[in-house]
Amino acid sequence: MSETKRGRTVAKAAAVVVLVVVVFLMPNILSGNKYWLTILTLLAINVLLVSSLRSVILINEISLGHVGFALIGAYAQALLMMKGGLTFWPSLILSGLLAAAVASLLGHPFLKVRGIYFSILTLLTAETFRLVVYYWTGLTGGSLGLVGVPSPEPVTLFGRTVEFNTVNTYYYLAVGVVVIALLILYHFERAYINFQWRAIRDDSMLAGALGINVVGFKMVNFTISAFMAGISGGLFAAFQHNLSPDTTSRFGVTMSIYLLVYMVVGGQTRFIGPLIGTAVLTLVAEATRSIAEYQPMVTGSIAILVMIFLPMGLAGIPAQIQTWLRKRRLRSAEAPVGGGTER
Amino acid sequence: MKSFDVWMQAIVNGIALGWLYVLMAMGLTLMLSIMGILQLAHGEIYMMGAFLVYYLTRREIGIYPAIVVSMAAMAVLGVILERVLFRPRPGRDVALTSIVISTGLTLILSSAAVVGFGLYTKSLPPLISGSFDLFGAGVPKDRILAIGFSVVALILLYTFLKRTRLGLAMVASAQNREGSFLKGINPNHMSMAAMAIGCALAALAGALAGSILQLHPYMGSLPMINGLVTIVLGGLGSIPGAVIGGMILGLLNGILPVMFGAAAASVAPLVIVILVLLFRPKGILGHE
Amino acid sequence: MALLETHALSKNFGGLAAVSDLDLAVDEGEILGLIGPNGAGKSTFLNLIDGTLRASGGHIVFRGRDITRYSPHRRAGLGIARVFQRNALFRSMTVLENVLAGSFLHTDHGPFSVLVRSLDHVRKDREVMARCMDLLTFVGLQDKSHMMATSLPHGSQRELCVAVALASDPAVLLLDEPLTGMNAEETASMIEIIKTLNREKGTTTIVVEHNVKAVLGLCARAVVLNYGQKLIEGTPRECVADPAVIEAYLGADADVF
Repeated sequence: MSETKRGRTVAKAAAVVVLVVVVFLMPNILSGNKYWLTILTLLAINVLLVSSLRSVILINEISLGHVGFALIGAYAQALLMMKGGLTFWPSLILSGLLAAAVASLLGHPFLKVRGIYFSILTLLTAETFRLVVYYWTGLTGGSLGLVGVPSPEPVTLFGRTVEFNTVNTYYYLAVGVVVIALLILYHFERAYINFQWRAIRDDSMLAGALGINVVGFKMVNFTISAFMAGISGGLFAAFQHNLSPDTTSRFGVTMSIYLLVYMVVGGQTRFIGPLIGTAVLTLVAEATRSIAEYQPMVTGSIAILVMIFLPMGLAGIPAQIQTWLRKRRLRSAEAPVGGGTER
Repeated sequence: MKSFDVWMQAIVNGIALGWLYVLMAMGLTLMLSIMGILQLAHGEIYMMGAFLVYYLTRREIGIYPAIVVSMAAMAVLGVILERVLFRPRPGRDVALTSIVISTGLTLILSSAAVVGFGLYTKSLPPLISGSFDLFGAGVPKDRILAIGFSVVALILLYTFLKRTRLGLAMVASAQNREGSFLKGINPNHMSMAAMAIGCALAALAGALAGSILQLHPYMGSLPMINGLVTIVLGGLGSIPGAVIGGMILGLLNGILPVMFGAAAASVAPLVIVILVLLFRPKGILGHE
Repeated sequence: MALLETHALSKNFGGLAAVSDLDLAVDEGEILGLIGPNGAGKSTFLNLIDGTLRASGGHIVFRGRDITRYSPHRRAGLGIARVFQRNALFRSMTVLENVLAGSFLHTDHGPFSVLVRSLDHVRKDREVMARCMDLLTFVGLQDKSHMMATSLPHGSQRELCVAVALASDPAVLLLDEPLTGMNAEETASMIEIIKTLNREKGTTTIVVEHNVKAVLGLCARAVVLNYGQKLIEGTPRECVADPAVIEAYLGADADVF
């Protein structure tokens, strides 16, 4: 038992090491291919956004409004750098904090609204944020968009100056920030707080009756999650240099729902789910780029098929194969005895 | 000051839009209360219904028979969708599953529409042409006719739900799924009926919208959102509530652009709904 | 002074008064039986006490403190524990983890202080662990501590629910139909658990129960509710013999006797 457990831990550690090495060497592997590095950078940013969405699932709520927090983060980052005269890093932290602050203001009334109403509420709120940005032309440039968000300022490391104005270097910055953010999210999920989140997810009424401050824990969860969404927005702003609040932009309702699809296809029960889902669907989107108009069809079909056949998503495939094998073994073990009386 | 004519037009347009939202909301609320699902592809059903009418009228079929055929076709599609996609599977979270599956469906249907129907906007032949004079202002007749059709459809639905066995069974199932199951009502049949009726109403709304507005592969997303807003305003499962919600929303959409311009018009309804949801989570006419 | 009192407690649902003007006092250390026909407002009363529902009127006083406006988790913090009518358990957790979740109040931390703490330290906390195992032994589930809670049979789940509630070391235990759906053996063991608890730890208990025979054996005092109001209170025997009670029951549910 412990032998297989140790084996699994070693395998996991090895996988993480390989992943880290591959991610680190990616610009060399792609020999600086700008197109693919751009896609990978956006992928990393999206993984953070989807992971932040998943963290709300831990308290059994489905948020369709995380693009709203990403939008707040992105515009805060852009405006703080362009008009506030701040440098990249303080702006990034502030944009995350601003999204978190908005979430914590909204959290108390919002989290009292349960189930599918919460999803509708968050969807409409994100759309409201987008429209406010769209029409607040004086501050945000409105439909023309906000152009000229600066790159992060150069950093001198070991006597070498690293500029972040190329994809090649921004890739490292984005991946670095995302990894740190994911580690923090992972910490929360594994830490003591998760016990309370799980209790709330399983049965919020019982959790309350046992003295768990249900609304308080939900608020903390929602706020952390919005902070991460804000950070992902900030990273996006400094990478793309221009922002648009159009319906078709990454801040529209469609994107909001896409994020949910990424998460579910990857498997919302696993921490790795958002990474797998986002990566697979991004690659699928790239692979079908030549048949652009059919592309949503492919994504949609994958979402539906996964939902029907893989309730735990792609990340749950190993577990599903295991239970399937175990069932088969049980059946073959029972068969000669003429058993199978129970189920 | 805007002229009386402009105001009158804005109000009539608003009411017509409001009734379209009511039709959308009825389908969404039937599915939400009977099946417990959020059907995000409802706007695409609306779009498909409208395009079907468009292609039928192109083949020299009158617009009224075309609308009836389209409603029937969408009803059948609804039953198929229920059976294949939305039938609850054991051990899954119904809300999450329905959101993801209907999202997938949205993507498939809207890209199919882009491929099949093209990105250019199209329009249906008008229901009726000309306008008539109301208190000295010109009101287009097709708006009034669209409102008339919607009202009739809603009255039929109301009568169906309150007077027929199937309708009463659906209401019972919406109120208490387990209880009505014990009384011999098959929830799957109720879900099928809900999907069929919902999709037929969406097709009607799409056709009416297509005749007073325009056809486009992405025409469904705004009515879907507004349908949701209507439900939330009026209260889940309440027909009078949906009418009130739809009227409020339609009038806001009709009048606000004239009064305050586009910005306020698009932001205000959402803000109102958010406030309603926060202070009366069950909607204006909803109850505990 | 009574441990728990209600003064003119009322709850309306729309026009329907589920509980109206109820005055009740529960003394420290007693087992109070709450009986009455279906729809008499018994469960609503428990919901009002533990804070699941907000009272429409009146007051709830616990240890001299007015807790009418307190949220459920604050009431739990004061020592009011509830066993729901349904088998409410955390379905992703094992038997032991459920009890650990119940003892949350002892390792007591709010949403913010918990943020800065590191890895799951409850499980390492020997003392809490030992207490939880004791509780499982008390209800007879010590051998099943690592099974998933929801895989237990109904009777054992019920006992686990009680253990989870006890983990918070409550001053008042609210039991909502603890014997429903149990066979004779399970019923006997549950009654034994409630009695032992009361005798050894002096836990004040309010029991809502349909099984009148069990209430007769369990409680020294009973209150009969009908239409949200107190019909009579006294020893269970007096209550059962009272003509008004018989009439209330015959009107609704004649099978009880």
